[in-house]
Amino acid sequence: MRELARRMAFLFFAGALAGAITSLGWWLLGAAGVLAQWGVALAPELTLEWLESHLVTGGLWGLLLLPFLGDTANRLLGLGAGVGLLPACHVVMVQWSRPTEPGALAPVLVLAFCVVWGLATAGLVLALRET
Amino acid sequence: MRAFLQRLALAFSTGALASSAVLVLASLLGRAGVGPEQAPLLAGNILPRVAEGAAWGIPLAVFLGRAWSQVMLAAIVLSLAPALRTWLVGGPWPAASGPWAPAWILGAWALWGGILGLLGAWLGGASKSRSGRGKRR
Repeated sequence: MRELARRMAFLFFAGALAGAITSLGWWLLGAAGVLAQWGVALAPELTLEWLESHLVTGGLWGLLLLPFLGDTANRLLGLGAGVGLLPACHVVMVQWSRPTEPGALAPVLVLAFCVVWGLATAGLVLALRET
Repeated sequence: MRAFLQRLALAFSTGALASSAVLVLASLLGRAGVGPEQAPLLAGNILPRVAEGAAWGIPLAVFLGRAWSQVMLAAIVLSLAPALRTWLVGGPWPAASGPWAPAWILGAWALWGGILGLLGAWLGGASKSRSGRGKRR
């Protein structure tokens, strides 16, 4: 029981940290004007509440890796990238009224960032787990 | 390095869970008319408060792995910092006004500290002995 709770805590932390890192990356792209250049109307303002929301949602999505925590490093990284597809689908299909609402490239960018989030989460979990 | 990172992860996640529990309890008390009315439990309200609790829980990482009493004491002492900050500087949570506001703020954060200490000690594998290294005969 305690070991399961510890694993969940590790996953939440890894997902949250990866969520914060990728959110900062997204904000940087917006602040640098890259998103506007690519026709994506999704440049967020860097506020504490915005960052905190992404931190917690990243942690919650990270819990999806729980059944795969004992897998080999390569498999875990692959599964991390795969799990990253789910938040991407949630953003594009549930949060937006149309998949290309903020711009034609927006779904591709969201997908890329979510895959990076999944890889970062899996990498952090690998750094946290015993072997 | 890995051990400290693990303790950091445990403290962070425990802080998040503790703040979620206190948020729900405060909201229920507010609805029942026992405590001050809190903001509705929507994602926009919950997520930043959970992150705040998680961030305040991080310093507990230093004390994880020690004896139960030490972890509990550290958690309760740590809860004074956000309570004082909310009381003096003000903040969105917990919503409290009137003469009992300081008591509500201190109580909510003290409960957060208690849950943080209990969960942290359990997850961190705290020993029951006072020294944390076991008793010698």
